Amino acid sequence: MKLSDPVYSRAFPQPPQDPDRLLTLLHADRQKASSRLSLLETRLFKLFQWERVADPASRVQDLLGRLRTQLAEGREILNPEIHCLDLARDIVKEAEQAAAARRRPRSGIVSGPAQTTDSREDWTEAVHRCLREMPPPSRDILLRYYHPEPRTREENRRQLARSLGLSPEELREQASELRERMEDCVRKSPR
Amino acid sequence: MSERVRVEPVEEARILRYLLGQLPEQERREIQERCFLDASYFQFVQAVETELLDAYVRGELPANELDNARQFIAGANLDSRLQIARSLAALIPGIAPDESGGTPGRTGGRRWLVLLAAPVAGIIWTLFHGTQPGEAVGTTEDPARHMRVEIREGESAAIHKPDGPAVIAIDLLLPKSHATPPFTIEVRNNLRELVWSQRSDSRGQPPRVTALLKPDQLRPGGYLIEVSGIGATGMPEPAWAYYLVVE
Repeated sequence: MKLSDPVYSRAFPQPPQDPDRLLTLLHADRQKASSRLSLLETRLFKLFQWERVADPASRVQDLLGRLRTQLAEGREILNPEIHCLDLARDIVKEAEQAAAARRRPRSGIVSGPAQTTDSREDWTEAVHRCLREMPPPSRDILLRYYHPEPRTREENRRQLARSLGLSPEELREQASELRERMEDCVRKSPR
Repeated sequence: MSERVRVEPVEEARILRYLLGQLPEQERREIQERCFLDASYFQFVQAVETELLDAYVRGELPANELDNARQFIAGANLDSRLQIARSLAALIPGIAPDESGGTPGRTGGRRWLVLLAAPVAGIIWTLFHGTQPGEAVGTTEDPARHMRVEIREGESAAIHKPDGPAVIAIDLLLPKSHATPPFTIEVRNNLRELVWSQRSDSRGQPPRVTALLKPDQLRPGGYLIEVSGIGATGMPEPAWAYYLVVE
């Protein structure tokens, strides 16, 4: 029986899902609610990655679907982040159980990083392009902070922290954000 | 975004172990919760992930962690991040990224060796500020195969475990303090189990206490050494911390 079958729908009626209810839960202001939702999605995505659950993006959608259903059923949720974390743990556990049932690791991959179909040149070109598009001061921070040579890297970090007036933690956070932005650009680039 | 909270140095090693799938359930849950409640902490975990990928690509990870790193990258579907890390490493002429991401022992590997061997506070902070592990003050090995190493408070040193009968003398330099002898020295492994302890008076200039250990008392791994003295009230002063990595 498919989920779309009318027989199934009659047997297991699904509560109507109101996407607005989720946003309302997150914040009264729609814009702030959207950005909180976006942050929540990012954290969920990373959590599924770190827990090595296959297909993290669809797990996030699965989780949000469950949350919307609970809201539609009138479930009271006091702390959305912690509630989502609990749901995420349920999903991780389900993935583990499913993987155990199939007698293979839940990620399905253990031998090593999978090779993408894009060539090294494609990636390098995209990285170059995205770096060129960055404002020069940001690009400078990124390239110096992540310099491949360890001694130069450590020296760069000391100099950057001094010249920008940042603590090492603040510099690390700033560099990490720049790196994320650059990587987002690369992933969205045509290759 | 929450106010930036300084992430204690001990957290970096713990986060690394979380990413590498080496933390017990309770600690995994703690990290997960903090990620969901503290935006700054979440950003920090992401930063550690990035630097772990970079270290993997550049062959800076110790050999015994390569499989764990490979499994993490594969399991977490970080292929695109890996490609970007390789491309970024290739931008500087003369530094070719490691094709397999798997050859350990390049310059910089020592940092990761220390980080992964000793999940204790202070090491990462020290490294971030540029002090090389093992260069805390100095290490000497005399002809009788007695090894001596000096460590300043809050810093780390790495030693190779000597073969055969020998004594490892660890001089722990004491910071300026009102604390008075007797000083208690405790050596704990990375599970915080007490490996060795001793009471000692300080000596020398700068003042120091010395832990004398036999090689069979230390296994390869990270150790936290704590020294406490008697404070003005007659009660033990909070312990000073030193870090030792046995390779």
